[in-house]
Amino acid sequence: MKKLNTQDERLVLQKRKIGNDAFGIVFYGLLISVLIQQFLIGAPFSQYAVELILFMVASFYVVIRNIFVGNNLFQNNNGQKMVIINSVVSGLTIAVITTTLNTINFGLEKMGGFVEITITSFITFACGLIASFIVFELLYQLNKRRQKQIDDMYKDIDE
Amino acid sequence: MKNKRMKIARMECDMRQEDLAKAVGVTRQTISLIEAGDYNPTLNLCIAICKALDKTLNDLFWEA
Repeated sequence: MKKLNTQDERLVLQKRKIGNDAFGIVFYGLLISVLIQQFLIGAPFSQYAVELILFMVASFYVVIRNIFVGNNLFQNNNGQKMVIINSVVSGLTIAVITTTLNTINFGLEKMGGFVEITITSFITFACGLIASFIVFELLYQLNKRRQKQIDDMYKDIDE
Repeated sequence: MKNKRMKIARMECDMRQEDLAKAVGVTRQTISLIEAGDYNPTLNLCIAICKALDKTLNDLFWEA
């Protein structure tokens, strides 16, 4: 009898799952390594540059590849709302981390007291929010455009 | 859920799991898992199994 499957689909699936898990371990391992070296150890950039670059390359690859094949990156019908939520969360995260670290490193007095810290953190939040919004909106628009392209490509001509 | 119909069809053809596995190009474990209901095969594999056992998709995989 003619062999229809050259490879056992279950094994291929399992191997892909294992590869996927391994990617997750390496990906989050790199992130944790960068965060520890940057914030806890206070190491110079050159020490964790390779990890950071690899992490960024992997992240960009995942995003670009998903956009290229037309997967919905925002996992939701209301993508614009997700862009805003993601931007706010990113802005908050940036503001909290930066303000906390600056206060720990420079001290309360050098930071100019509570009012100045509040103003600084608000400005950091606003900058983080705007920067994140630009990036997320760009990705969202690219994602939407690619999905439309693929939709048009496979449109049923009889419809 | 166990796929008893596939197991019966295989026995009717006087085939061991190993033989069916060889015929459709997968490992014996995969056939064993399908019969035990622990793995959902793709449509391609279902068709290959049906051809190997000379049955239709309805005979082996359709649940009324």
